[in-house]
Order: sequence, then structure tokens, then C-alpha cells
Amino acid sequence: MDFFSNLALGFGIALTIKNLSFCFLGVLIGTLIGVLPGLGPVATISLLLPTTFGMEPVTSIILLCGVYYGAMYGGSTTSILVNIPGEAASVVTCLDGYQMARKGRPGPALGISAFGSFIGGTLSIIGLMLLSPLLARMALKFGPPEFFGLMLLGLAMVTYLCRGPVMKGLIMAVAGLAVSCVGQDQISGSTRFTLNSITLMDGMGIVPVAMGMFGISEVLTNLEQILKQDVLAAKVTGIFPTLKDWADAKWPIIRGSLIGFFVSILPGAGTVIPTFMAYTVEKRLSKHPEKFGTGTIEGVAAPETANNAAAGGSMVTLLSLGLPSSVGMAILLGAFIIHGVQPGPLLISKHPGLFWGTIASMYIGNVMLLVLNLPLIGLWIKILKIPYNLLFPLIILFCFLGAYSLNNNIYDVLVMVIFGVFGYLVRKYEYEGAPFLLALVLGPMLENAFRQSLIYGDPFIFFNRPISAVLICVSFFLLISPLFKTFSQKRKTIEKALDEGD
Amino acid sequence: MRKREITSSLFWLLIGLILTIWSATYPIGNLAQPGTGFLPLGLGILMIIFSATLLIRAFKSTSAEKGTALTFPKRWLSLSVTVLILLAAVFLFENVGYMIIFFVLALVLPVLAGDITWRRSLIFAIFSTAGVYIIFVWLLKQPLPTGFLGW
Repeated sequence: MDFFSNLALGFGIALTIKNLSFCFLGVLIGTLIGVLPGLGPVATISLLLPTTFGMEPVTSIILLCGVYYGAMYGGSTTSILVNIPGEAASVVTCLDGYQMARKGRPGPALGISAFGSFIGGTLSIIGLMLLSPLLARMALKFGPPEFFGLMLLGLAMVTYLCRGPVMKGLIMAVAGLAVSCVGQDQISGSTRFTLNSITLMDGMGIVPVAMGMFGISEVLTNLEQILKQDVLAAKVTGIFPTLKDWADAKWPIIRGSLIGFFVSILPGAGTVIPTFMAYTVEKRLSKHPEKFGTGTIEGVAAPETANNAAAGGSMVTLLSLGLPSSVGMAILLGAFIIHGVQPGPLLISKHPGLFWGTIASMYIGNVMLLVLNLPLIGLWIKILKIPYNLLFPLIILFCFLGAYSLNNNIYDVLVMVIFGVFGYLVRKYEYEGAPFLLALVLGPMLENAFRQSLIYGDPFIFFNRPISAVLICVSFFLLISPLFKTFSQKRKTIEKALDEGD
Repeated sequence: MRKREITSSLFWLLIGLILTIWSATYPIGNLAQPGTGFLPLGLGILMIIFSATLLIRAFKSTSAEKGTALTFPKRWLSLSVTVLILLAAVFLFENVGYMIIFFVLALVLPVLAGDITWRRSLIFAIFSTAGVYIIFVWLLKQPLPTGFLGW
């Protein structure tokens, strides 16, 4: 009964004219930036954050969440029609989506991705609604060692899931933690690494750093090459999938929803990994795996459902534990804090209106997205034709404005440009930005939890408490597991060489 | 590939060394009562260990190992000028004012991105600066610096 009254409270808040308008604006902007390559949800949420300062917290969060899950919808349009992912979670959709479009079936590809996204998104909100209060109640029993273990696991997961050697991911995570140490030490109050600068005393702002590493660096990387805009000239017709399409896509949609939701709850998984997993699972289970990559509807339905389900799933840890599981969630955490709300176990009891209002707005937003996406496909195609040489300067202008408007401080813009160049260079050297940014966000919380745990006077406290011990052991296992792979590969090479010698 | 790994790991090794030495100037404390410099010192040491491991691996590997080689950007001039213009914009923003800075950025950046005429870029600059004024200054009432000209 309590559950339904809470949900009614949420709908009461989300259905006000103001919140409905901002929900619509959020999903519209989200879809737009999802469609446009080069500007992802992270940079956009960072950009919009200063404009929400005057709003009520719930309205602001409804808007920003709308941008986040709206981008998952929009990304598929670019993947299917241009073969360039609109945002990272739509990379896999390019494989079969573009092939379907080339075969003259862009309509059903766009249609199934919209319906799949709607189903995945809605199921994940139900999951979020049921799981978050349970997890929050459990987390009330957590102390600093358990939170330290959870954050360590999040960082280890992001590092483990990085492309390339784990060592590079670890270096980026350590660098992010080191940058988070700049400024005032929260426990002793003394300053560190500030070079006597008053601006640096507040620490390195997460938003300018994120805008630099995910907005400016993206533009700089794309400036290197001239992207071709081969938007499919064929008219998009028949966006409603046929009965056969539905029959082929129904299980991928169900499995995609489950994979997307549950995988994204894991700290660090984000929205990208579940899409790859959903695609791989479908390919393995398929009776005709050889057809994957040639334009199968299952190859579009599974990842597109998974990325929307993941958008809801990754909010579980943020809302119930206060821990961001991805870079997008880290920026959203920043938004909560700026509005004076601390996500975590007490969020639901202290701010029920905010929690249930956001949940209800996500249901409404999903319906809006379905209505927006299908009839407006023609408009998105027109937007896709904006030349990149005009799009990139616009992104830079928006980032400039966004970073400045945060505190009306030009140093924030300088930080953004510096981290833009840094982000570009680390990409060139094949390091990933995600562990850096997540470490920057988690850094102060991690240090606090670490030092508060040690106040008990026992350095082994992390291993004396079962939950933190398990979390820390899993983290270490994740980080050292690539070593086993290297050893076994080396052993095989040696054995092979010995066999050949015989 | 190999050269890239060596360069990047040497960079991180240097960062690790700086971090370690700098952290040592702050109170370290002990395991039961960690001080301000405890975590950064640990991070500095970890950075040295990780970058040194990467460096050793890079030296051990052969250049033929898989991976794409680091290529010098073909459009390096556009790239460097873009960064320089952005830095100049940052330093001049408060004195010159948002209107001129955004106009210049919107005029020059499309040309640097390539494949556009100055005329088209000028039209884009006029519209985008007007757009910034309407959305951010007029509608959202963002206080942006007007500079010496008062715009």
C-alpha cells in the first residue's frame, strides 16, 4: 500500500505542468544530442547543469535524467542511418542497424529500436523502483569500510572493462584519484597541491573536467579526420515492424532488458558493456549466428533494448547507495549535490518527493520518447545533415558557455580546455578517460571512507568485516585476473616452442 | 606502438615521482591515523609502480607487436591553432567580452574544421552569436562579461 501511495505521490509531482515541460525538454534535448555525433550525454548534462541552478531540485533532476535516457534513444538513429554511433552505447547497433538500412529496411530498424528502447526502459524503471528501496535499506547497515569496498569495486570494474592493458586503466584511475586530492583536505582542513591559488582551494571541478575530457577532446579528435556524412538517401518508410520482425525480436528484447538492467547495476558497468553483452548473447543463442552483422533485426533489438534498460539500472546504485556506476551517473551525482541533495541510503526517506517524482517522470519520459521518436524520424534525418564543420564549433561554444556559467569563473573554462587537450592526448596514447573521471568523482568519498575506517585503530578492519572483505577481494581479483591470462598465454607459447623443438 | 608506450609510461613515471615527492611534504601520519599526505603518497608510489611496469613491458616488447602506431595528425595545424585560439579566448574573455569572443570563435573555428568558405562562416558566426545572446543572456539571464566595449 505504501508503495502505491509513494508512486501516486511521484506521479502527482511529475504530472505538474512545469515538471512535464522539463521532462519533455530533457528527452527532446537527449534525443537530439543522441542523434548528433560528438556531443554525448555526459557533456550535455554538464552543459545544462548551470542552467538548472534556479530550479527546484526535482525539476532539475527530471530534466537531466531525461537527457540521459533520451540520448540512449537518439543514438540508434545515427547508428542505423549513418553508421556512426550517436553516443557510445549505440556502437553495436551500427553492425546490424546500418546493414538493415542498406538493404532498404531502415524503417523497421528504427521502429524496433524505438519499441525495444521503450520496453527496456520501462522494465528497468520497474526494476529501479522495486530494487532501490531494498538496497537502500540494506545500505543503512553499511559503515565506512563497506563503502570503501564498494567504491574500490566500482573503480576496479571500470579499470577491468577498459580496452587495452589493465595497467593503463589503473594509471588513469590513480591519476584521477590524485587530481581529486587537489584542494582542501576534508578531514584536517589543510590544503594540498593548490600552488597557493585560491581557485584551486575548492578542488578541481568535476563538470569542467568532464566537459573537457568528453566534449572538447571529442571535437579535437574529430578535427583530425574529416568525418563523412553519408546519410542514407532512401526515404524512411514503414517504421512499424512486421509480425515476423516482432516474432524474431521478442526474446532479444526480453533478454536485452534483463541483461541491460542487471549488468548496469554492477559498479562501473555503465551503459556500453551491457549492449555488447546483449549482442553477444543473442549471437550465441541464435540458430543463424552467421547472419549477425548482415542486417538481422535481433542484432538491433538486443543492444538498443539493453542500453535503455542500462540507463535505468545504473541509477540503482546512484539513488540507493550514492555511488555513481558510470561517468554519466557521476555527473548526475554532481547535479544532486549542487542542489543540496545527497543521494544514498537516506535519499528515499529524506526526499521521497524527489525519488518518486523522478521515477514517475521516467515512465512519462519513456512514453514521450516513443511518441517523439517515431513521427519525428524525418526531422532527426534533417538534423543529421548539419555539416560537422558547423557542429563542432557549436559544441565548443556551448562547452565554453557551460563551463563559465558554473561559477562565472574563467578558470573553470581554462580547466576545461586543459583537460580537453589532456583527454585528446590520452586517447591518442590509447588510455581511456572513464577510470580517470570516475576516480576524480569517487576520490574524496573514497579517501573519507578510508580514513574514517582507520579511525577505529585497526588497519585490518577492511578484512575483518565480511562485506568489505568480499568487495575488496573481488576488486583485487578483477585487477590481477589479466595477469593469469598473460601467464597462461606465455605458458602456451613456451610449451608450443618446446614441442616444436622436440 | 613501442615508442608510444615508452613515451607515455615515462610521462606517468615523472608524474608519479612528482606526486610522491610533493606528497612527502605534507603530514603523512600512520596507518591508524593517516594524515593529509597519506593517500597522495600512496597514489604516487602506485603510479611509479604501474608506469615502471608499463615501461619495462614496452622495452621487452618488439615494435611488431599488434596495435596501431601513433600517427602524427595530418591536420596538426588546424588542431594546434584551435587549441591556441581557445586558450587566447579564455585569457581575453573577461576583458574583451563574450560577444566579440564568441563571434570570433564562431567565425574562425568552422574554417579550421575545414571545407567551408569565409562567407558561410561569417553567416554562421552572426547567427550563432545572436543565438547565444537570445538563449543565454536574454532568456536564461546568464551574467556574461561584457568587456571594455560594454557588449
